[in-house]
Amino acid sequence: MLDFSVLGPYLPMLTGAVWVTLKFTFWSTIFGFIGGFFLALVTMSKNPVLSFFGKAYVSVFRGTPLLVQLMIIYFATPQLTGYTISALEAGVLAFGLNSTAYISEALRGGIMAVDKGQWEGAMSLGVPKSRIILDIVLPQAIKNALPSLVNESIMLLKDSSLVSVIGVADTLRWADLIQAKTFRAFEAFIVAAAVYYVLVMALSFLGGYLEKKVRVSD
Amino acid sequence: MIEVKHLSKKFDNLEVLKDVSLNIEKGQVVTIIGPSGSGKSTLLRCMNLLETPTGGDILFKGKSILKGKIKIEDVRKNACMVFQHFNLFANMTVMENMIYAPQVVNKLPKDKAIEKAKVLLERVGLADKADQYPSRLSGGQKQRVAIARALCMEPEVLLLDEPTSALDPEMVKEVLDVIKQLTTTGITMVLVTHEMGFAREVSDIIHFMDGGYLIESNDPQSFFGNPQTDRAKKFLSTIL
Repeated sequence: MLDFSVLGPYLPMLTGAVWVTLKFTFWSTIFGFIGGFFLALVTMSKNPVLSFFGKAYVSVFRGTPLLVQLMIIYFATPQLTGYTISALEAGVLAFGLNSTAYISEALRGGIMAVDKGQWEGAMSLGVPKSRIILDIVLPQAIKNALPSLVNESIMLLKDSSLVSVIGVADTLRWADLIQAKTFRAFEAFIVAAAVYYVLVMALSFLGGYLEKKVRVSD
Repeated sequence: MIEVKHLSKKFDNLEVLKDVSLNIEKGQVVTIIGPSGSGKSTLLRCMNLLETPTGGDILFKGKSILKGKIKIEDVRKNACMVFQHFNLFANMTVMENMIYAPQVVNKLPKDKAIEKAKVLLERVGLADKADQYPSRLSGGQKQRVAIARALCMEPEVLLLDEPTSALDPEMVKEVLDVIKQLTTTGITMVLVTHEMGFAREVSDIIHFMDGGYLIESNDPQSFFGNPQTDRAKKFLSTIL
């Protein structure tokens, strides 16, 4: 009854689709990390306006579905600005903005868990604040936040399948195409699921490796 | 070197320093003692602005550090602090801890910084620990590294905030020995401590604080032998 051989002709397409999924996850994660770092600083700022902005940002992006954010960016950008945004751009933007919120919260927790004495130790030697953050607090904060950060990039990888809705030719889109052409839904989607599972396993393995590496100072 | 003038510090409604004035001369070993909560640590922390005083002034080599006459970083790199809880950078090895601030703050080239760090580690007896992370060291070893780290900056003043209070008894001596050895180098030191015997032995002058006030200042022989104020007498009778 099951016949995986129908997938044969479409396998070359699959590598391209997986590549799109990976590329997409990679850029959203980078975007999210950089954005999250700055947003964490903004949220922790002593300036009430900045810190309010940070909290409001997190609240909005955590409080609305990612798919809705994606739709708004993809369909409303041309309407509002006249710029025809590509599906890939819209995807990276939506996912990057969204993961900025989550990653900033993970980093904020990591930063707050760094002992106050680390700041004071560096301040008392005359180290300027920006260098304290970059060289002493951030490395320890990332270490504290690593499990959440790995988790966040796994979520991004899985949620990247949402971009198939706006037509990006990713892994899920590939499966969808095949089931439309061959009416073999189970074979197509189970292969997509397996691909995601393998990628997630690879990511969590990488996360475990990183965690072991940062623990050398323990 | 450091002139404290009518200094006061309030945390909300709690006044922990009240009109404290004292002078610290170059090359002096100055010890501040007093019961817990008397404000001695706060006074020390004000000297390199880890706490911001709410009144009075502090002059560092004649310049006010509160009125922006001299940059905070420039005060701190010349008045380095050794803490009760060491505060070694957890993400760096002992050697990295030692050379970090000299490179970043004093712009010392890395090889020069390493050279100096090696000499200082040798002096505190920890040359073999250079590549260890702080988490692998005992409390006494951490504190000796912290002292060496501060010395790497070649500060004019060393501020020591209860450097032996968090240590197991058997480790106190190794740290005190290092501090005692430093007193012979002529560096200015301000020490907050509960080690009375040690204070008596190494200090040029003792400042006794209680309830936020500077109660009595005298040389150690006179202070311990013949305290002038009732509060100092009472304090000494409870601890000696």
